[in-house]
Amino acid sequence: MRRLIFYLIWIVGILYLIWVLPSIYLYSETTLFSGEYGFSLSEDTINMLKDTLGYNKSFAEGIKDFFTFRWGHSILYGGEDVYDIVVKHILATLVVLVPTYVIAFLVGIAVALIDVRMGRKVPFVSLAFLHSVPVFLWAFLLYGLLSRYLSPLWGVALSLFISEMSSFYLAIRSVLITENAYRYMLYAEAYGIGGLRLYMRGLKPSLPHILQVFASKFPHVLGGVPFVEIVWTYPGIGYLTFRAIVSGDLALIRGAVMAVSVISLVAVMLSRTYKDVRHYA
Amino acid sequence: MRKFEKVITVLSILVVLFPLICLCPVRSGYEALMPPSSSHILGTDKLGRDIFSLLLVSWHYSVVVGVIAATLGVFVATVLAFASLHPVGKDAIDSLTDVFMSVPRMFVLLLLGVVVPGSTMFVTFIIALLTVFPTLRVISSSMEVLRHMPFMESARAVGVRGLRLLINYYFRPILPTVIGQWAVSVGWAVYADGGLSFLGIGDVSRPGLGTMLREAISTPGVLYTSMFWWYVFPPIFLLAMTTGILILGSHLHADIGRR
Repeated sequence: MRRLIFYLIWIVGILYLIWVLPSIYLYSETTLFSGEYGFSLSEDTINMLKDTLGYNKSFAEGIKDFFTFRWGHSILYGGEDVYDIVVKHILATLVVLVPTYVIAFLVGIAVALIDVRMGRKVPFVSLAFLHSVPVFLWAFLLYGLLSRYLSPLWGVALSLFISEMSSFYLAIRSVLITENAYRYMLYAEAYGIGGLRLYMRGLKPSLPHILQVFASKFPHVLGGVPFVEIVWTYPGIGYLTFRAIVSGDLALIRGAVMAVSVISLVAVMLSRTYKDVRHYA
Repeated sequence: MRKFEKVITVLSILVVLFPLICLCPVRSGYEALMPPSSSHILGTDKLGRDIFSLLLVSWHYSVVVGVIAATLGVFVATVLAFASLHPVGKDAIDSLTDVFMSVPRMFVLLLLGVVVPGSTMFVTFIIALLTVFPTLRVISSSMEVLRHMPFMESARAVGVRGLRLLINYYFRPILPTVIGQWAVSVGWAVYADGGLSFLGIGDVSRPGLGTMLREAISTPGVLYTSMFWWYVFPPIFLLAMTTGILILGSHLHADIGRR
């Protein structure tokens, strides 16, 4: 119960932070609304614009409106509804991200299984190398090599796939190694179960852990999305957020960052519901 | 393979230490876009700056930002991990870590990078703040494991309490983990700094590997020309740095753990 209360406090706290932070950036509202010659706009006009765009809301009102999908209007998109813009861009991102994420996950499992089966022959140096290549470098590298042949959609998918596959491979490899240390694996080997079959057996009980890895890596992948989308100029949520931040579109920044945060919060909180009883034995 | 790993480790130490002690000025005023030659081993950029000297200065700043941010972050994480030994502290800090880790760090970094003034100090603080929670998760988990070890029961039974218990029975065994996390955090901080400067956020006036890359690829058509030296070397340096830091951290982790 105490933990639940703390969860609520921190979630509200972080949403408040996301709500307040972009408004600090808007230090010059006059310039924002009317360009360099903003002195021609009166205080009333600016307030009216702020009301129309949904900038004057309090945090409580904002959260209420957020969950009722009234997210204000965007300057960047000529007064279009922020909810519509964010949904369109999130869908564009998810269309690439979800299949890529699932395929990278499955390939990561396969590569980890083969590596563990072969006796962990992959040297540490190459693992460290795989782990340390930032996603924007993958994106940049692939953009340099393949931008003539690939569309932005495929470019984003390939960049995310390579980056995430290596990350899944490393995470699942360590889960499998931990699973191998359990005594039942030794017994299974003594009974004559060997080869890939043994590791498939090890994979089955560690599946909840692996699924937890699957869910908990989601914010990390979403975090890499802006870089990849900016490099490939793909109109997804990352590119939208970057453009909104650079142009100071308060309603759009709030909408995009809040939506991304809520999606990943839900994904991670769901993954936290599973607990392995063997850890408490 | 052992020899190879040793060579890599020595190179990793050089990767971290060399830029920390070397702060040479950026050599400029040359002809623009000269290919690699004996006078400019990595060529020059469009402003006539020697790319090798620019890389060294950028390397220095990246490592300084990474080391300061990671040290600050790991220090705060360790203090919070000690606070999580208390039952109320544990609930509060575990839930805070869960919530903070659920929000994509790069989105928060982008937001904070634009909100705060574009100085290196602020960027370092932001990166430090974002390294706290992943590190805290690992350190507090290690402490939780230690808490249930038989030697801990024995220590408590013979009356070991207070600071002595915390330092000798908690801090010393988790030191290898802290060092390993520090190395991972330095790598992430270098990457975050490079990523921010690549997007033109933060202190864009200072030389940075990301800034160099952005300047190169923002020139239309550069990727289709033969001026590879302009955009190939910054990513290679960044990769060498992050890989080197990770390998160094892993060796430190193993060595201190063995002792």
